[in-house]
Amino acid sequence: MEARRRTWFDDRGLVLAPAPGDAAATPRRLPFLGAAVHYWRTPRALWRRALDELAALGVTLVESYVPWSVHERGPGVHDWRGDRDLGVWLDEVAAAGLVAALRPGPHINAELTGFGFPDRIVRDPDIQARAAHGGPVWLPAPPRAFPVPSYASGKLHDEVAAWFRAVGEVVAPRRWPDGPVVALQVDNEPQLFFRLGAFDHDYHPDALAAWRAATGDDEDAPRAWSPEAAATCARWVRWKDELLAQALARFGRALDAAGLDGLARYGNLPPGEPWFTDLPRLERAVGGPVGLDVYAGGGALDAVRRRALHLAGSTAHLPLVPELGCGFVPYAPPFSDDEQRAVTLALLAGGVRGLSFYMGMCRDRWMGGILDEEARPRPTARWVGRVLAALAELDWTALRRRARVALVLSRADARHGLASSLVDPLPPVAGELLGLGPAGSAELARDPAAALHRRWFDAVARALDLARVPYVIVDEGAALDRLLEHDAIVAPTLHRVDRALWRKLGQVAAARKVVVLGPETPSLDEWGEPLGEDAAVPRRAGFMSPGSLDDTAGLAADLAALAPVEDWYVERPAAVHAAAFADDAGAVRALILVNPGERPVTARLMVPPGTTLRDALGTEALGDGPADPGAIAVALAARDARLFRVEARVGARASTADQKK
Amino acid sequence: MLSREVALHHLEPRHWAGWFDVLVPPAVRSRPRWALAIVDTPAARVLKLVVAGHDARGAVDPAALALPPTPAHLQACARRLDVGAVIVLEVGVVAALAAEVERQLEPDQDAAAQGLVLLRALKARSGKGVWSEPPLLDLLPAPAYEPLQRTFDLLVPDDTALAAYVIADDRSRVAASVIAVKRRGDIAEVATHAALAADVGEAALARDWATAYKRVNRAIADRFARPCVSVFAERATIDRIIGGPPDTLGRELNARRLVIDPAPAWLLGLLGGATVAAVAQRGALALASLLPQGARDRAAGLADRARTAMKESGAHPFALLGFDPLELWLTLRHYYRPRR
Repeated sequence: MEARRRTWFDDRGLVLAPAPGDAAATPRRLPFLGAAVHYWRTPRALWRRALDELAALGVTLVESYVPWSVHERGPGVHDWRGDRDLGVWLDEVAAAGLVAALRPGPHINAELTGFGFPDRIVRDPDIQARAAHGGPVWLPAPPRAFPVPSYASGKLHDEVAAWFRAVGEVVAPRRWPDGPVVALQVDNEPQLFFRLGAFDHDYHPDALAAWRAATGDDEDAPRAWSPEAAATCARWVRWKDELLAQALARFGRALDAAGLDGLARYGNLPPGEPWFTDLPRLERAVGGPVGLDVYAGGGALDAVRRRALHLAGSTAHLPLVPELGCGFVPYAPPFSDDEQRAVTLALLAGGVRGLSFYMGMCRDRWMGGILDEEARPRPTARWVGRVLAALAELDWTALRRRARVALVLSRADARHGLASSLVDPLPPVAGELLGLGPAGSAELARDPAAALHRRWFDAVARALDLARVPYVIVDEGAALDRLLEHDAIVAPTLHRVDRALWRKLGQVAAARKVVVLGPETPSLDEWGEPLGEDAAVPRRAGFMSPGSLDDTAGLAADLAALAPVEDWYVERPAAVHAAAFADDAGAVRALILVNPGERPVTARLMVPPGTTLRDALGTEALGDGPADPGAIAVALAARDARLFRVEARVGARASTADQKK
Repeated sequence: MLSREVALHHLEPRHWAGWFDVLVPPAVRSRPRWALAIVDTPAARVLKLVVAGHDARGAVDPAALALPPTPAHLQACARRLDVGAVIVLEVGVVAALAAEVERQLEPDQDAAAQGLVLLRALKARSGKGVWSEPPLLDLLPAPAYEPLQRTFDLLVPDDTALAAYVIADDRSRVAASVIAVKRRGDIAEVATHAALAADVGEAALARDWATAYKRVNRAIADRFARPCVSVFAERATIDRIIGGPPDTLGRELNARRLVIDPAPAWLLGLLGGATVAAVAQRGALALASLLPQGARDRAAGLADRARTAMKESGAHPFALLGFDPLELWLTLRHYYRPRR
């Protein structure tokens, strides 16, 4: 293994080290603005045309899975010929002037039967995950349900290490700067195959041994909710986060051992709410950003923006969307191009600075994408090209949205809610998809705090939006620094709080940041144990009143005091959000407006007088006039978003985000 | 029935979306409100009652559902909460179902066989841990997999294609299309008209579909396999067939607003039979009103016995299934009628 760093992530994207010995060269910055191409599903004769088309469109990299089941012909026997010739494909990538990110799994999905695991792996009882009922755990993924492997299985990890060695033989010589490979994704959507029900799995013998080692307890892991053993049940839920983190770290070490070290690493989470995965913990395990995959339509713009705010507030690296739906699986209704463009802009509005369109090229078991199956641009290419061109022109990754307020996402109550679910082992994602109510899957929790905490969290988010206070969502597991970046921290609390978070809140209060808690003062930690010597409330903390839960306007009025009024906000209608992005000097360069509503609106946008907005994806220019200085009327279609380049007219005062600091 | 390596390619999103428009009942498309209750029947307690779907309210007063979960109580609950459906689950039934289903699944099972394992497990608990209003579980048959596969093999020969096209009412475009190819007993390949677009332009096809469909069939034969059944219709025709009396199908065929070409003998027989039966039924209804009740009952019994005899003789194309898909459709089709 070499100690040399070839590529890495910073807060703008990828950084590519110069070739060794080139003393004059400096590292090269590369925005992570990619598109997916599955080389093995693309006729070899079309590889170059597809890559050239995508390069012309403005993507900075292409990414592909490297599917285990596609290459393996038997244990230790791999086929890299013809359309499966990854090495030649990578050489074509380099020839097209692009770089590549690879995703060797072991979990692939890609709508492959068995999600990319060879048949012998999913059929091996020693590898199969175990459900609470003792049998294998089946994932109902078309065209055929299959038993999922256990990420605790030592045998699985041995097999994966051998697979990575085979990948290493092809890829290691093509690592940057010797070749185009600049990043590796560690596994794919690691969430126990979407089956996060508390007592669903993993009761594999290796998992149970690890649980006993972690808890020092000789007893078996819990297999059903018990109010008398609530702490153990909640511990089991949290321990599965640790199991995943340990598995990702082990996959990472196997990549290193396969000669694939030195490259930037990243991860991705499946689409969904942030309540059920410990993103900061997974980032530490991966050693790079763990992004969120997004497949959504125009009806989900609020949720999409919220998830982006969580990414932007919680990542220690880069707010990244490794898979941004461009086309969709054929098992659900497709989203239109307009919807997908709006979702892309809503993510950017939340602070996303890296993304990869999935798919760049249409392929088997997929519909849509940027290019069709013959590598010709589809209508989708028009808006994708415009977005990429606009981001390049704006130098998007250098811009920042100033968020004075952090809204803390605490999972202590959600964990108890998951553990006490009345429909366990139904995965929480099913509860969210079914639209059970304001608290999502927590509506079906026996523990009432789960639903109540979620309602408080949403109420605060709504109130901050209404008060036009720019905020991000900071995960309870994020580093203290992420909280200290903000002037004020709002942490909805009931009687239970994560002890480590509580300590951090004490530290940020000691750093003279404003801390708002409530409606209750927590007295118990995440396991239901008394906070004891940690019980002290952070100094000068303010509290939300219980009545604020159903008084969004009143709560908004209270929270508005946390941050001064910015130059850039939508005066009306209330449902439209504006996000202003400024450069290093504080000058606002870009503005995104999002209308999640079902009706077209004309928003009254407040801006510094003398401002001109140019539609970055179109030709329209808008400005305030002498009759109404500092106000611009912006038309927005239903469930739509618009990206504007901001210009100050000659003679107008400079528009800066920090003028009113 | 479905190959584990099924190829799904040239899927035009617009055409695919068109199928969701045609096949998903309007009541489901509009995301109606529905209710989910978790109950502890031995303790006669509703543990949680949630109003989900459009404008979901989340947990509401459990008193809105009276136990036991009889059809009358479920209907009353639906009215009280103004929801389109009520599903009631015994606490713990999800875990029990998961255990039962997962113990029966095998990696080599067909997707249909896997689905039937779940459906049978659900039906076995209908009224014994799972209740719903409307009672869809009771309506849906869960045949054994083998007869299903054998019926499929009987009706659709290997190395042939099935095609279905829906044309927009203004004939400006194809609203939905699908081409499926059967090989070695399984659907092995699925595409939309995008795979043929270079040979048969979509706009030209839509404009003159009643004759241009023949070019589509030729292109399918060249590109995929000989068509076994190809169905072409305008969107409004499908609505008329769904919403109209049972003989609408025959009338739309006669009027060439619906084209089934090629149509195998079993399908022609089935359609002919259904049409004749529907016309006869209309006439019979008029006549029957003149007859005394006893004679009417005897006539109805005779017709039922004739239908059963036809199935048992093996002459009916769905004889192996143990249920008649057309009869099932007649039961389910009102869910597809536009909501008033």
